Amino acid sequence: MSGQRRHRDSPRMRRLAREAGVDLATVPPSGRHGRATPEDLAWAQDKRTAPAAPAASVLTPTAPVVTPAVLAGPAPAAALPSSSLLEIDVTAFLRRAAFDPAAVPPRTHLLAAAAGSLARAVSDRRLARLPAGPVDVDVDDDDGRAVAVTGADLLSVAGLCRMLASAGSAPPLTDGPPASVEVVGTGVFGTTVDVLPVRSGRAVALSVGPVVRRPVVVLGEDGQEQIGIRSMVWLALSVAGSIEPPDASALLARVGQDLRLTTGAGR
Amino acid sequence: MAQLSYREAVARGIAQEMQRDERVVVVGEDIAGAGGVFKTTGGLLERFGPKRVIDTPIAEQAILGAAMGAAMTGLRPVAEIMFSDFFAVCWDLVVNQMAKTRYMTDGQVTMPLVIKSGNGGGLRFGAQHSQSIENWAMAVPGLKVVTPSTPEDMVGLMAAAIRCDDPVLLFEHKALYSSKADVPDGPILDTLGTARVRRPGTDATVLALGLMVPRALQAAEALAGRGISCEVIDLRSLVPLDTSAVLDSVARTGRLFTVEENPRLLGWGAELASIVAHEAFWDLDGPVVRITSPHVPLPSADSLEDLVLPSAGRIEKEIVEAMGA
Repeated sequence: MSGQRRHRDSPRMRRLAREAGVDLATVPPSGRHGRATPEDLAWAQDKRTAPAAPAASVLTPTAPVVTPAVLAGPAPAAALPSSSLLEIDVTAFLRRAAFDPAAVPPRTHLLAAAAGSLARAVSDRRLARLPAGPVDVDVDDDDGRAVAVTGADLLSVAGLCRMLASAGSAPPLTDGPPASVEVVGTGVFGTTVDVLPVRSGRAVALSVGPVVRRPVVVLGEDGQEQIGIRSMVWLALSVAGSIEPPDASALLARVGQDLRLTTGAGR
Repeated sequence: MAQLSYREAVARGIAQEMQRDERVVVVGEDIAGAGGVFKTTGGLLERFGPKRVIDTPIAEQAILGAAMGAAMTGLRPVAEIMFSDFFAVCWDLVVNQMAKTRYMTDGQVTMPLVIKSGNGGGLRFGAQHSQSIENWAMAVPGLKVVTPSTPEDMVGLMAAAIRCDDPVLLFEHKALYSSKADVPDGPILDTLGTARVRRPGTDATVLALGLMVPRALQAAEALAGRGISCEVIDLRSLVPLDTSAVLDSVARTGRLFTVEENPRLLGWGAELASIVAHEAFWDLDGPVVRITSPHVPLPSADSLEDLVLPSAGRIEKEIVEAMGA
């Protein structure tokens, strides 16, 4: 097997993808160990056949567009990074975040959880071949406030929340070398998903799109499919050339899974 | 409908066929007056007399030699080998004579006999009286291999085995003898080579045999509480093998687990894994996992025997780990 990657996806998934005419390498995986699931495949098929633009109401920005601090500097070094996209249901997450005794806004809570999860995923050297040591993360919230978090992979979500909530008093990011990981809230950009460039000196950039309430197919308590109104958010992960695209997909899948599991959502 | 123990079901199945067909006779050590060491032939002597229920000396080769001759000359004997471990001392008769006679005589001589035997561990009988040897038998062309796990199956499969014109090795699990269940009244005739779905499920197919069936069901119940829905299939018969039941289930669940009492090397699950890898590879969502005893002689010590045999807890744990829940 030297020089070759082992198959990540199960024989069944490869057969289903072959029958559907879908290249599994293009499907953002959400299963264990970065594997695609039948649901991922269905999503990829829907995406391929769906109209290009979602409904206009979804695109309407709810606040002025603000450019995050990390994007206000020089032009990115790599113009076209490798990217993976994943849409997740954060309804349960937000419901729980609303009862956060620390009174951190749910959106901040979401960014903190995403940043912590990505830092932990990056710290797993199987997925991102980066230098050993704590993973530092630069986080920009939707309002352009930035905070540099040292060793984000070792912090709890609550700790990250507190740091982000006090972002106004944090040192500006330009004072030190860029962290290898960047997380940007793009909730006010006016689009459902923004793919960030990976700036010079960084390895990974994650955008957390706006939370959009929209109808989706869900499983009812009786196990039957039905339409439900859910809070959905797009995650877009860009990686530098040092990380292979399948590993980027695995990183993103880990974040998506963490955000779902953090809220106690089902398997 | 009456409650019947697994051991009583053995006697009922034999009696049903002895009543129906006077060519059916029973031979074995202590099976007549004593009703069998495991009491699986109780009442047969009183009901059918000493000419049809025959005690033998302690000589397995004599038991099977006599049964084979009787089968070749028109009777339909049921021979008992008290512990299945003792097949080792009469294996030449089973493998080289019984299994091949019909083939070597071009069908002119059939071999309608059943060898019933107490099989399996869990009762502290030690390394020489506790083995689970179905996989020895299934490796020999010409033999049929059956292991009922419930009283009703015991009656119906015993009847089917006795009516079969080929040699059938029917393994009774010793640890199930005292288990009880409702059994319908009247004659029961089952079909060799048919599996039973004991518990339907959607996430994983779990194959089991004999004592491992109730343990797999216990594990499946616990796994349901963890959100894993297991389909438990009782194979009941290894030869013939109900491959369609297995492949159909794997096509739905995408995962296969075998729960085997036998030592790991070349256990029956290895053959099932091979079949599924060949015929259902593109349905698999993950590797086939075999849950077996390790490749060691079965210990006598309680704690060690419990450690060696797959328990409900170990089945649950291994499935959870493999499913990643």
